[in-house]
Amino acid sequence: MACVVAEGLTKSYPETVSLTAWLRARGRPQRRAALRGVSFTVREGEIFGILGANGAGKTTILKILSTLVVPDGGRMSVAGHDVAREPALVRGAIGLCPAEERSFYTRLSGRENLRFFGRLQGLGGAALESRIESSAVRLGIADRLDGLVQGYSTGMRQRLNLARALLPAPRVLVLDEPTKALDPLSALRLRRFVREELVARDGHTVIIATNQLDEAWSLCDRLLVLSAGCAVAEGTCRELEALTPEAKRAGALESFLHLVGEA
Amino acid sequence: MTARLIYAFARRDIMARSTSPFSWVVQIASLLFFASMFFFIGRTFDQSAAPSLRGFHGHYFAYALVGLVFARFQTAALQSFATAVRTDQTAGTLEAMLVTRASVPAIVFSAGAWSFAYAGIQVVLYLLLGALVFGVDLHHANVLAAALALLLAVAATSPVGILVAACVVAFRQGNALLSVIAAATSLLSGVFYPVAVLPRVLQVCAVLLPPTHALDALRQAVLLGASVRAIWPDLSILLGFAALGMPLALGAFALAVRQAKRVGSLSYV
Repeated sequence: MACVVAEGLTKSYPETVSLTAWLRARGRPQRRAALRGVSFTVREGEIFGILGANGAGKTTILKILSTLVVPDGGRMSVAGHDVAREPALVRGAIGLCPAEERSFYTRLSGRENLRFFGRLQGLGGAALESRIESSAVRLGIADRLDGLVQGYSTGMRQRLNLARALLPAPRVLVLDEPTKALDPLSALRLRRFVREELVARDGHTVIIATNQLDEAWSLCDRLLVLSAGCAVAEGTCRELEALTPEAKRAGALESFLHLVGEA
Repeated sequence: MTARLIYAFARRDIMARSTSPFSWVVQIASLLFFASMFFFIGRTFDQSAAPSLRGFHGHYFAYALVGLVFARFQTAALQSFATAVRTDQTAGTLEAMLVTRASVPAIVFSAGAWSFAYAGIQVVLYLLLGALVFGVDLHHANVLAAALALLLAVAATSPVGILVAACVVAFRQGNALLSVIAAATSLLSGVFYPVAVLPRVLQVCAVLLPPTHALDALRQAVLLGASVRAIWPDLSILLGFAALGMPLALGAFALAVRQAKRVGSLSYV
């Protein structure tokens, strides 16, 4: 069953220019296309990867999905709710784990941060406390939860990030480059947690934006490959490799390069 | 939901400050220093040197104390909404807040509401200092009229704060605007001296500002014990400013959020 559907998404941003350039353009600065008619479908309970180089449009898709940006054209729905028309319902169905490492109040403890964001999710009382506790235990941060976030390592912050995203028990978990700043072992543990706990045990649908090929190939059930705002392929790793038979033997990197036209 | 949000922001702020207790000491010390400064300015001039204060029994400190009380609330009204957005933009926490179930206006207003509550605590401290340490006579104060005047003052000046917050959302700028507005209000509306001492042309400008009427009503209620009926002319003007300004400001804020979502700049620093 489809959980997230995107049809013909387009988005462009105005170029940031100096005042003189802005005046020369008569208040209509040039626009940079971020998405050019991107369509894809994410099925319930799968790990769906959005793979692309920097600037390919991954974050724009996640921002549209999180209702932080409205698309210029096309439509996107999450659990049947349109992102442009029913943003509150969409936000209720997703848990976003942003790539930004500085997304916590560093002078508060991990627990107080989770309490704050939990209350913004409409949670409170014993229900909130129990969700904080269970998330922290599962992610292995329970013993450090009362320490100030400013003393947390990058790996700890990333796990706290995931705990926050899990608080509202979302249908769809959105992870933006979750292993970007992690060492190989921590990255491996996080991927295992996503695969074994979040998807296999809890049945979450996971959308993960990444520019790491090994992560995409080893973790995701299906992938969308983006290049310069265009969706160049969608399918399982095997299906993608089959699209580029000449590169199949060389592995993921060659397949990816062929797909984005860089081979 | 709103009560829960206000509680969330209040707790966040209190917990963050509790990690550096020195900040509480600094806040209380600055209140004491400000109040003391105006007390000694008042002692510098005898009552005959300030004919424009005769209506308030010539006590400059009592007059300035009400100005300080109002200024604290006005600062909250002008700055709290914009600060709520800007602080989280620069801290990197805004995006995480915006993807929760809480809407953007609910987040901004809840953060602002806590600022007003905090301003209220400071105001109580000011009044306690004034009455217990500096001997200001507050026995005649009409508490109901004063509370109503403060409430309407906040409602009349908040639209400007919301407009500045809209500028912060749309352009990620606004602090400079706040400084100019706060300085102009202090200059024109009689926060620390009567409007009567201003040149004629500035007095006309002062009449057009809500803080002038708010301060007038507040001083009458606190220092002279004026009733709601007696200060109604000022209150009705404040009500008018609020009724006109609030829908305008809320509309501008909604427009700014829509524009930021179109441009994709909602969580930019």
